[in-house]
Amino acid sequence: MKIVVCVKQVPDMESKFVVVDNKKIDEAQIAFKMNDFDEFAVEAALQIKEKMGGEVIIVSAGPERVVKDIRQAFAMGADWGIHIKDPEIDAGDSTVIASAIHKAIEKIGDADLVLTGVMSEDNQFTLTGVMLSHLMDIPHGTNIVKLEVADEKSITVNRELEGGLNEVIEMSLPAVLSIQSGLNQPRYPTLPGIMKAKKKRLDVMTAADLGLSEVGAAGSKTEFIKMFVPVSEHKAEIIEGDAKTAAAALVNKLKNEAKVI
Amino acid sequence: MSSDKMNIWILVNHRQGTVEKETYGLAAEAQRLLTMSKQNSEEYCSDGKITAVALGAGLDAELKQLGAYGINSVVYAEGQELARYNGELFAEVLLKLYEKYKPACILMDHNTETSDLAPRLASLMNTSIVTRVIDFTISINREIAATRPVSSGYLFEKFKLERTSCPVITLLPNVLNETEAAENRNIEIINEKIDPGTFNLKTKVTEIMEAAPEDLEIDEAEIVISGGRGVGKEESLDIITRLAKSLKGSVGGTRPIIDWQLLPFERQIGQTGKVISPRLLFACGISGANEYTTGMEKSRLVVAINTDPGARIFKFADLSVIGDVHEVLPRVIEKIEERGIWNL
Ligand SMILES: Cc1cc2nc3c(=O)[nH]c(=O)nc-3n(C[C@H](O)[C@H](O)[C@H](O)COP(=O)(O)OP(=O)(O)OC[C@H]3O[C@@H](n4cnc5c(N)ncnc54)[C@H](O)[C@@H]3O)c2cc1C
Repeated sequence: MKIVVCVKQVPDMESKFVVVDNKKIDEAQIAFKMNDFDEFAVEAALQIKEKMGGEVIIVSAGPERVVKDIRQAFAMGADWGIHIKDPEIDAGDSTVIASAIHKAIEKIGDADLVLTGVMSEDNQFTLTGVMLSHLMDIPHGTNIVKLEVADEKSITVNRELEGGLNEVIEMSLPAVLSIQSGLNQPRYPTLPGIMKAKKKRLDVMTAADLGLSEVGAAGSKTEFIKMFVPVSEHKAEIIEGDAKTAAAALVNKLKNEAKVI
Repeated sequence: MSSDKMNIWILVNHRQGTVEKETYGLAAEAQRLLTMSKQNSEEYCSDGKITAVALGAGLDAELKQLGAYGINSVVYAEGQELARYNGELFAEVLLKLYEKYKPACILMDHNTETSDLAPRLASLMNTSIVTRVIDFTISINREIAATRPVSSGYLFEKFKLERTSCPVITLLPNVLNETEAAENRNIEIINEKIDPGTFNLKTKVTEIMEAAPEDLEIDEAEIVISGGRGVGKEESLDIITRLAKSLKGSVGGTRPIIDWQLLPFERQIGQTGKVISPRLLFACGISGANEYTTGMEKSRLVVAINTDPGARIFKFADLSVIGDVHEVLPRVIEKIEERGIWNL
């Protein structure tokens, strides 16, 4: 089985977020890491490879810094990868990213299975996997919490629904799956794994290498305007009243003022 | 936004034959959008309208009620195959309906199902999509812009949407305000017969089952309800789990709770446990020892409930209730459930 895993590097949510020029975060203050959901996807791919044989290929788009986490996936056991490195692609929206990944997967050729995380921890759009399957015109499942590859032709998956239900779906391969967290226990890289990772093949590709003409704003359907820190007043407010009054006031504040529930 | 009459579509969210409250919140949002665009451009959308689109079975009586929420008409695709959510099928059906009626935009409430459906539909329509939106606007020159939280809510991002097409927007349920029903107006229900057999579906659903009770991990959850020694032993902790359920959050605890084996170790918050930074954290019956607070300081909004007015935890809280968790929390849950707030 040839399994492609799409990996995104994201800021560690514990980092200090400082916005520069209303446009971007100050990366000097940010620690970057592999998107958690993608880590589950890498583990899922490695487990299939161990069972069925084949190879695991990592595709990741972003600036030079993402190499660290591609190598992290290599250290876990992935075989090789493609680093899509082009500022014009990074400047695009999900449509551009999905198109670039699609082209990279075409370059890899004959992928049996493509795994993505269900979303990225930072943006949480939940779009790339679905868009990718549409471009590839192959079956797709989101929110995958269980997966069983029976043979090289088909796959059975469980996906989460509302109300604590799962649906069991069968689909033929090739297919795209968006992996939910908790599906497995991602392994830690071993020391020999880390050593080997340094020597594994990593192809660097630009939009031109991929044959992607519509990048940046031209390929996007949405246009980023600005980024800003929401006004928040961390005032220690005491909610008065008996249990009933306080409970009602609390729910009202959470819902209507803080808008967090 | 091609059509001259601004026809806003909202997707009816229904479960077990009942329309969910989010649908009314969407109607209110659509109304707000219409009013805003009317103010901003007179020639445009002087007669905008709101259409609810429903896919399902046995919903007739429920859909008739929608007139009370400012919805002008309902497009109803009915069929046993549509009784339960199926992403691929729903997207194909909605595409057909979109092609027939050409609405100006499609709004959905963000949930597990629409996070699957919305991108499928937008891909089929080849249109723009923004998910988890908390605010959107139409400006004088008819531009649509949407704002959404990123990076655990530390930041907001604002986007402009392509104008030439019908954008698909999912709104976070927490911004969908409850609306009072007005007097019910007569509402036109347009029945659409769509034969699911005409679609060449790539996936086949073979079974529906109860999910395993493997809850969301606490360092990934956007909402965490944590309990401490003050909540009490054994079944006492159930109140924490119940609140987590009703807010769709995850459960965590202080070290004593873990030591009592009420929760597994991976749910301990603090210096020797997990460091978390959810959008909303409840600290219930927790004193706020430094070993605990180092694990939660970065949470965005902290609610503390403690009987002791001098408890250290209050220094880390945005909203504080001085009281007994077993008196306050049941009423909080009651309030939440009465309002039907769902959150992701
Ligand atoms: C090396 C080391 C590492 C540690 N690591 C961690 C760690 O990672 N995480 C961690 O949590 N702890 C850790 N601890 C333990 C820590 O020091 C505290 O003992 C612990 O956090 C206290 O837990 P608590 O708040 O649940 O209990 P308590 O401190 O006993 O507080 C209980 C609180 O509940 C209130 N209360 C009582 N009844 C009610 C009621 N009915 N309604 C409302 N409020 C009520 C009380 O007023 C009190 O404030 C560590 C300790 C050491 C020494």
